[in-house]
Amino acid sequence: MNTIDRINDEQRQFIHYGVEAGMRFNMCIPTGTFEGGFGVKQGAHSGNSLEFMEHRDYMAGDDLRQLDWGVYARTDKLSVKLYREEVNPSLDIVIDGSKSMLDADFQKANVALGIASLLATAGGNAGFSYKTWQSCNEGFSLLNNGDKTPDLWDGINFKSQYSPADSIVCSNPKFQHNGVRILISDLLWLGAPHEFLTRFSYGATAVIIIQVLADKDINPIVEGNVQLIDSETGESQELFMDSNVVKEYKERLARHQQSWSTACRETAAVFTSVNAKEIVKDWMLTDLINHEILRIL
Amino acid sequence: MPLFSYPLFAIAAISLPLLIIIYKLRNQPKSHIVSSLMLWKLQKQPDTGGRILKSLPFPLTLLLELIILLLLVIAATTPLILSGDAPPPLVIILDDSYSMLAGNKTSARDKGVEAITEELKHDSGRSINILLAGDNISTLGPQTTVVSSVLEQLKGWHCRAPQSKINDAIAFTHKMYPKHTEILVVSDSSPDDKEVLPGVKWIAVGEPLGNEAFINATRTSYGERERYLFEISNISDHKVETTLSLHFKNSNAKPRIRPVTIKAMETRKIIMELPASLRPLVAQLSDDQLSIDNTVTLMPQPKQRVKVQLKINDESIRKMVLRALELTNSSIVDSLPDFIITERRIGAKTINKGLNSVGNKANNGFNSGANNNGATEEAASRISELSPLWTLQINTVKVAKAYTGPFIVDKNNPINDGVFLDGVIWGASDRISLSGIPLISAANIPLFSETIYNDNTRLYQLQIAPELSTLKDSSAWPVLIWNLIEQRRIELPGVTRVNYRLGNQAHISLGYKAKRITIATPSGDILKLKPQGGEVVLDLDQTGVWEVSSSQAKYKFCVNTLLFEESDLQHATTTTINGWEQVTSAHEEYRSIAWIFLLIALFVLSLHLYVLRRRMS
Repeated sequence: MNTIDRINDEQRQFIHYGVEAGMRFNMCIPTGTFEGGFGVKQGAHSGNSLEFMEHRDYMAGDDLRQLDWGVYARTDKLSVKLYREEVNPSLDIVIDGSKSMLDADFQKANVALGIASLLATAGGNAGFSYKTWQSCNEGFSLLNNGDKTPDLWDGINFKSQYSPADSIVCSNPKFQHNGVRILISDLLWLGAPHEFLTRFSYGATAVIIIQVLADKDINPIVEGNVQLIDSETGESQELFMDSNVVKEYKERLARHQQSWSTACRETAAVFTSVNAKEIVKDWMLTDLINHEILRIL
Repeated sequence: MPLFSYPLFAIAAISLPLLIIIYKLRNQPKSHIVSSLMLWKLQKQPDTGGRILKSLPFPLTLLLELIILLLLVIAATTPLILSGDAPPPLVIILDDSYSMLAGNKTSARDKGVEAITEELKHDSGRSINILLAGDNISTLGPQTTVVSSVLEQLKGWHCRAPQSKINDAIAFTHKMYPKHTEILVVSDSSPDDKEVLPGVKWIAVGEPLGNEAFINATRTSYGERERYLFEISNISDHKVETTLSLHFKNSNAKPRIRPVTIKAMETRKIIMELPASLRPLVAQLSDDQLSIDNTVTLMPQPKQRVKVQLKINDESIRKMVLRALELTNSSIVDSLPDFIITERRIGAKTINKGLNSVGNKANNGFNSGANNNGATEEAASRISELSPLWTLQINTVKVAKAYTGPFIVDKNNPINDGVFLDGVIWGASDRISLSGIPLISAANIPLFSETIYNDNTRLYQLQIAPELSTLKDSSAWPVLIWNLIEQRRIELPGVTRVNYRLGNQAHISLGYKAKRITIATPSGDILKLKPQGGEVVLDLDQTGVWEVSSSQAKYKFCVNTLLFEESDLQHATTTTINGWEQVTSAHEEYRSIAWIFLLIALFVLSLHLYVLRRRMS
């Protein structure tokens, strides 16, 4: 019998912070094809709604029923009458459930939940239907009540020994077709970002990658002889930490982030990185606002 | 296989595992959980740690420190290896007798120094020890390998000894030094059998010379006058005419000069009487080849009398004691005595009460002694301050038996010297036991006993029934009293003799309270000693006036040569007998290689500092 991993009070608190912060935002509908031609939200493209959008010149292959005969009578030009499409936007929020998200202060896990609830709330504000997933040893699993309001989410555990890249390889995730996909992860795994992004963005309208790093990931301060233990694999390594080592670590982290950023740009995904310690101050996802993914209400 | 001079120092090697433990504890890494090792694994490790730490069995600094410790431990054990081409060590034996001071223009000693300098001219690197062969064998200085240091040490070669025990010094060298040690003897005469042992080179630097010398001198007091005896030898093969000059030290009187003619190889005895003086008399002969034996200093004999206090009521006993004391070197005093003679009557009643231990009672009386018997506080104070009090307690018994012998006499005790009791009748009680050790007893009945206390205070007890005894009429009685007084005189603070021969020992009693004394030798050296048991014994190795002073008193005495054998320069000769050629010149010798390890340790230490500095930068 499987036991459900209950979200603890602290995590619940962060979800609550995320919901409160998300109430300030509206998620914008990106240009792309969403699942369902007869949705409840107006899309960015022309469609089959009753709302007139614009005229354009007739091109071969256009439906003759959409010719505006009145314009033809006045101007002797064949014009097609376009109506705004109606879409049914969907959002898949994937939370990295690997152990690496559980740092000593649980900063990353809590903030990841907070950001997920923020985005879910913002999506809900924009009429998105959403599902919240976690990566796990078996692939990706839907959170308990992951399609309901964040306050009802449950069953996340951050116990996976595999990174999302491993999870996506070993399973076929049932993300919504033509939806917006968001990954919230520390992205601290080896492997080419391209490969993961290709698989992750397959069938998605838009992809957003949010890297959440703990302050200690960004600014390690330990010095002297240390034994570093990998939180996921338990593998250890002895190091003599000094300023040179830390400096090189930071440079390597920056290169790692850069490679993700580049890969995201090349796959039309949006990449942003946040410091878990800093984001909780105002919950402002500036990069997403700049990319007009979030709009302040 | 090297030998180790101090293998016990190897115990210091325990510091090696201790250092490893300290390093292990100090460098234990702290565990730190990170999100992923991916960015750390890709780190290029700095040279100062990390992968180098991991890949080496020890950190470099620990390795260097272990090497330094190991090298120091090995150096401390002082490893020795056999070195095949080492020159043999050299021991120089110097004739330290005063005949080495003889010579026409240059003394034998100075010629000896020149000979040694010449001998060592081509030497380098061999270890050299110098032994003085005098009355005793002693080293002149530390072992050295430097010729200049040898010459410096030779300045301490004074030639003052009354004889030279060169053969003893050679035997000592053979016993104490390595087998292949070469011995160089420097003397003024050749060896007795004109041959030397292999490995001994004998350089004789003397020359046969005639010499006039004092070989005996005494000074005896006769009331207001003093008699002097001088024996002067002419140790040469021809008649000599010399002068004998006499004068008192620190006196303005003109010296008495007397010509003396002595035939070849004869000794002239000169006896003179002069008025008594408290000053030392200096007798001097004309200068000759050896001046040290041309002078004699004679100190006046100290008039040291034992102060005796009599506490005897019985007239017959008192007469008996006084008659015996007349023959001794003593004076009767009423206070400040050195010796107390008391009388104690033991009647029949006392004996019947069970007084069979006169000793206990005597002790009680003795310990509270002087005051009970009327001696003053001053006397007690003086006694305790300077010298211990001796007491003869004569226990007269009424109920007694007459014993005719045989008497058991402890002849080992000087008190009994010359005491013969043949034909003596000694009346004594068999119910009395005397304290201490019996010196004279009849069977198991003690007649005379001695008790010596920790502070050298002595109690002599004698039991006698005068009516039944013939002791007082025998020669044994004055001899016994004379011995007691003489032994007491010897124990008095001061010197028993004031004129000694070179090489004698002087016994000086300083009083048991003397804690520290100062000795001034004729050469001007000052020695400070702590006497043991109130007495000091000095080896007299210098001629002239010695002075011994303590906080209570000051004593002077004189030392003269007066040795015919050493003044005889007829057998002095100049020759060299080389026994070194009889042994091979190449020897194997153990040499310390500790310095190599110390040098390597210094190098590794420098390397360690370099590594540390690099790490710091």
